[in-house]
Amino acid sequence: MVAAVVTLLVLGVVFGVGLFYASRIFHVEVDPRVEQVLGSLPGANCGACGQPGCGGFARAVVHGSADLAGCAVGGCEVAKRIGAILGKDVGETARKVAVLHCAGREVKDRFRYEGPRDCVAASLIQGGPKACSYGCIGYGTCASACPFGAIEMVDGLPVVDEDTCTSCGICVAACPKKLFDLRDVRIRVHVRCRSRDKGAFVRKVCAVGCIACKKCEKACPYDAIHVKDNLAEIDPAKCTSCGECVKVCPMKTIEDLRAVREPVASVEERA
Amino acid sequence: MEYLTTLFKVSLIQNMVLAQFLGLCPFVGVSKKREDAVGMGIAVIFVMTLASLVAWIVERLILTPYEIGYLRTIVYILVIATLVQLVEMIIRKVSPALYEALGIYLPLITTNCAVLGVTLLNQNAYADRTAFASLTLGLVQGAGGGIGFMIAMLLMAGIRQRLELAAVPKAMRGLPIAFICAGLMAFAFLGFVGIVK
Repeated sequence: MVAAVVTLLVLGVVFGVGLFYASRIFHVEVDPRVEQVLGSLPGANCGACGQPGCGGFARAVVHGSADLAGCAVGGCEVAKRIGAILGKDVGETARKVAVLHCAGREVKDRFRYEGPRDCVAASLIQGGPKACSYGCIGYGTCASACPFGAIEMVDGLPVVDEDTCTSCGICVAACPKKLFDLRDVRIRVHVRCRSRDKGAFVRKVCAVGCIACKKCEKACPYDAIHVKDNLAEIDPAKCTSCGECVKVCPMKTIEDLRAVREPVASVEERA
Repeated sequence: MEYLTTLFKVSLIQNMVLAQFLGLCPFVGVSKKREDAVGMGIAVIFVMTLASLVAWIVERLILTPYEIGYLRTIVYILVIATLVQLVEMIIRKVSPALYEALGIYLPLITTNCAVLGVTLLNQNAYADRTAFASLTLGLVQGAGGGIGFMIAMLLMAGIRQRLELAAVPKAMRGLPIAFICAGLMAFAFLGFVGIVK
């Protein structure tokens, strides 16, 4: 009995004192700027920046492994505040939005799919039930993945609300067909297709798919659009959203979003 | 040869989780994502091996000489908890990269029952061996136990990631179906029984 009490007492005291001195010796200084940065963040802990919560983002920013403008929710304003704390200058960052590269609402099914209503699950079976293996499956995995509710499924295709979209990139990662891209909100012309199938096949399965006719390539005055692997792609660095390609596209694959909504700032103002 | 047999036995046949039912809390709690399962698994291997070493020292230096073997459980808990705290501090100071990888898992397993279990099992199995044999076999058993834990965690995480997509009846979604899967996995691991005497 006495032995037990004495042993545990001695062990407890020894370990306690040992840990006390160990914590002194191995004390790690925490950068006070981390606290400051954390204070200026929105504190939503949404994880849209790709870091584990706001605390993780604050640490990453101070250590230089994350972008100042990485906080999708806070946007430009928070980036400026962080820049003030860290003594770095933040340029005006262009706002980006998620853009879907598919417009195929009326693509037929190749087989009847009766599994879970989830794009990832469906794409595991023969690349999904749609006749176009590149196109949107339409079960809305992106819409349920979006932490901000910016994606709505309309007639089987996701529609991005550009005001709510924070360009966090979660939908880009969630889509098994990789149909989303983050594009500068001021670019208004997009190729709504990702199909690399031959034109004849595309024409058979989809009414609005890119058939690689190269008319857009010839029409573009800025050399910004090129057909590669049976698919027209716009170089966002060169595109001025003039809309010439939209006029010549025979399949109406290239879409001018100005028909839907005016851009936030005109293209000419782009830096 | 005995070391290899021990490693095989403790990691598969007497798998910590699926045959001895130790460490079920992290097994269910941290097996939602594969990356988390790997991090936790590595932390457990690390701590189990260390704990085997410290428990051996305590056993030979304190418990056996003073004939207070009946205090084994509580002393082990004390020692392992202190050890993990200390290791966490040292890693944080010495290797921030390792701390990033293991940091969040270390406090979780301060006195995980699987960690305590492996030290007690060492004591039961190798108490009457020579000092050297009991130390080395204990270390192998510790590492093997950790590896077995990681195998079970990885399998479970893979299954659970697929379960997320499966059409599971509403009442069974989440933990209930995970428990059933764990039970079936334990059945499967029964198949290893008898391979090594």
